[in-house]
Amino acid sequence: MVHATMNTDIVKQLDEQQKKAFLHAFIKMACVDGYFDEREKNFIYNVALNLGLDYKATEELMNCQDTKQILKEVALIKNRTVALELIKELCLLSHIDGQLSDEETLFIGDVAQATNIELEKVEQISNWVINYLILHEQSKIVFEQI
Amino acid sequence: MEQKNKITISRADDYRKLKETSRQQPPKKIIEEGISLSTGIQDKEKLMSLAEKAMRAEPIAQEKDYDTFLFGIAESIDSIKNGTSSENEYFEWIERAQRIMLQMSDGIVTQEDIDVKKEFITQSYQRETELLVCLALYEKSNHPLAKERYAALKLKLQRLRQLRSLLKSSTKARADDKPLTPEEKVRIAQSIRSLDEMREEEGKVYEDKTLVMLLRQMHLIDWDEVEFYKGYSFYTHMLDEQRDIDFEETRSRMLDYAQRLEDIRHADDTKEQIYNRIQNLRGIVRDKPAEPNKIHSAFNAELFRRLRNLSNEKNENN
Repeated sequence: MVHATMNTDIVKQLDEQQKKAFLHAFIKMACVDGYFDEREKNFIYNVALNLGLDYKATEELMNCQDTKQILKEVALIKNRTVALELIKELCLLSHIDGQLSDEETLFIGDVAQATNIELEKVEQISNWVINYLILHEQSKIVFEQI
Repeated sequence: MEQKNKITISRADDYRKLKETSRQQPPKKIIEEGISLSTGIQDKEKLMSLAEKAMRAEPIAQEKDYDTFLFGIAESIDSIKNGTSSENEYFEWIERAQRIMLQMSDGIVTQEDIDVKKEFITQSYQRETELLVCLALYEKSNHPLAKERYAALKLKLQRLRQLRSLLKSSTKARADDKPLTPEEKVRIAQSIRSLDEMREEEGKVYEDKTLVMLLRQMHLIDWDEVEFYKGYSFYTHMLDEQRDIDFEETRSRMLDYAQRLEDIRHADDTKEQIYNRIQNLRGIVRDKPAEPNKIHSAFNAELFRRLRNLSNEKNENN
């Protein structure tokens, strides 16, 4: 299973509002295709851990919000590095089930536009994430973790 | 022999006369005469210089050192008896008293418990006498530090009497094989709390515990005895207990879920499943040519634009 690999230097830069924006975006990503499965939930808990939020606080935020509201929240992220990190994590989450659905494509694109990240950059990030996942899966075989 | 005796008698007479006249004479004259008698020196100048030397070695003869003398004696008595320091002795009393109280409340009161208590009380009376002597000396002395010492020691004596009284009133006087009643346990808990307040150190904040919590912490009561205590209902006890359980559960859950996430990463995957996932990610479909540097299942900008337009049209129509 894939897990969040947020850059700790970037996490330190986030304020509370941005952390909540991240979390809301992930939750929306997980439920945008109508399914919110256990792997996606665990991914989100892992992200919450990385962001320094506890289990209880994460539980309270675990509800699918309106897309427009979430886009307003993420639009407040002006730092490009932080925005790229968000796109990366959304791509990671979207590949948990091995498929990138149309709804997920739409959402990632909307988030990119809200944070002024060009779509070609999102393509690059997405390709990178898939290569990363392939390596991650291969490592399980190479290092006999199965 | 007779000559010797005559001299001896004569010297004894001289001493007697000296004693009679000494009250009227200044100290230096007395010392001169004393030196002359003991050494046989008659030379006046020599006697004067020896007398001056002797006076310098005898400070008690000077009035202003009397206060220091009294102060010094009081300090010596107190320091010999208090062991390490006056403050340490005070805290040691409190600790001993608390220990005796707990010992006499942990079940049956044995003769040994009573003996330990009696020993403490006897020692406290003895110490009280010594403290009273020191207090008298400090009071008499005009030494600059005497007043301060007097006040401190007076407080210490007060506390000692308080300790003794607490011990006598809250514990049994005789060995008893009957277990303590709730009222007796409450009295002991109150006494122990008073001792904690006596021990209060500057700047240290003591947690405000209910009596019942204190009794519970001292293992004097079990939870099912709680309802006998005033101001603490069984309901509040249930709430407390539930809060403790919730806290423990939340804590272990928080520690757990980080570990569980780690475990899930390496859930039961077979090699075949992993290969399939890799192939899926690569988007390798044999009947379709793969585009260079583009992977099938990755984000596609063109697809996004198409989807966005479709969505906007749909919203406009609605």
